[in-house]
Amino acid sequence: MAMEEARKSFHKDLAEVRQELVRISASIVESIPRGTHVLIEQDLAEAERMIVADDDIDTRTVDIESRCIQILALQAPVAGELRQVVAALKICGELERSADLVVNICKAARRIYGHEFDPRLRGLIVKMSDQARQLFSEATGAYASGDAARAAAIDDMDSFLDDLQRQFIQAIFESHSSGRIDLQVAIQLAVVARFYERIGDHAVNIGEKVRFEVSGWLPEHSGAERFRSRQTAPAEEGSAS
Amino acid sequence: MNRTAQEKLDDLRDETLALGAMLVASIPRSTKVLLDQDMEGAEYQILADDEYDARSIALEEASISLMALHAPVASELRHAVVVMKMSGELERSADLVTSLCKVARRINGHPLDERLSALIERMSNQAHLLMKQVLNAYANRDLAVAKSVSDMDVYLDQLHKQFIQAIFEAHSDGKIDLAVGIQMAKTARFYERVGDHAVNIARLVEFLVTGVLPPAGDHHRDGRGDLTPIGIERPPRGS
Repeated sequence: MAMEEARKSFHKDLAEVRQELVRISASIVESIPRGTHVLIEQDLAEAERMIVADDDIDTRTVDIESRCIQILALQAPVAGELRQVVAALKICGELERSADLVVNICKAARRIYGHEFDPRLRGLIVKMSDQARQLFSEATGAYASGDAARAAAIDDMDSFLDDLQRQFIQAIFESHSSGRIDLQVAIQLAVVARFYERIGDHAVNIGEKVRFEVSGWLPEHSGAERFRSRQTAPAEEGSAS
Repeated sequence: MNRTAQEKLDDLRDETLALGAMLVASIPRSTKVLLDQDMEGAEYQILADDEYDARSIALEEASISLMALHAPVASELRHAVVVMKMSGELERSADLVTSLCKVARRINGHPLDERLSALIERMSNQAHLLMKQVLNAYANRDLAVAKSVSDMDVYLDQLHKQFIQAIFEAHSDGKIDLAVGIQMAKTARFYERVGDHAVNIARLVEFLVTGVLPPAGDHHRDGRGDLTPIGIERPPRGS
């Protein structure tokens, strides 16, 4: 009987960890367009609010991390349940860093305050922001529902964000060479583009954790794969001769 | 005979330290590739990163299966969790260091002036020192050294700011164009982020030793000011 009670509370713990991470993740999804608004409208008051609000996310992710470690210690889960806790532990870090990146966008807004940039650049920033938001929203949804197929699709979507980032860098060059923005703003915006790109990367990482949690799949990083194929290549040559 | 959790953890620690040592050694090496525009060295470093990825994934898997098989508790559990998280920090740091070699390819044929080169070297030395210190802290479970890493990171952030200023000056003196300027700004962030990973590892070492997980995100916690040093001071208003 006591055993059964312990199992019940274990499942409740796991469900609560997931709910809290989904809430944090959803708040990041929402913060992406807000950060972009700060940048484009140069809304310094909102920038300040968002920078302060990030402390709250830091605290909440640490709480979840501690809770996951407690679950590992007290429940010693195995198999799928162990994977759930491991995935949650890793997702904490991804969320914390993604929230930092949104804050970085707000800080960049403060640095370019008072500098105009042209509509084409603004348009591309909004596109990158929309795409990053959508990726993060998909990652959140995939995690909330434990949907490995949805999680696997995120990687493909991310290549669109990478393309946008390249277009944006090109547009920065053109704006700079036609004298519409100075170097300081150009560099600042190039860095901002990378913030969006990295938010997309974190969404991909969350997708990978979902796939791991559901099926035990670990990301075969392309590098790791290339390494293995190089390892086996000489052996194949040898056998042919 | 079945090996105990402690024996396996010792192996995981050794592998973590081996990967750590490879990372530490690769920082000055990749900086040299960048400064000398050594295309052959760049190629070699980029290929070597694939092996690094493979080994860090294997390390992560090993730490998870240790948790599954042995259900460790107390300090052994903490150690398994720390290895699991550290493998990711090391892997990402190695990716950043590899990115320096990719920058070397992109700016190939555009010489950097002495001031930029000297600052790159200082950022590299500082990032190198941070990683070395934090790995020593892990090897010796030394809380004091782990705590010093975050102070050392402040200096790297300051160097980063100086460097961004130097990029603007080099550009206005006509020494570099925007394309190289952007590559340089990226370079500075790579070093800065290696420092951030060192700070993250320091946090894990603190947890390993004390059992208390310190808050993350310290890098912008110590004040409301402009602390992510992307570089530019706000323009004077109205003047």
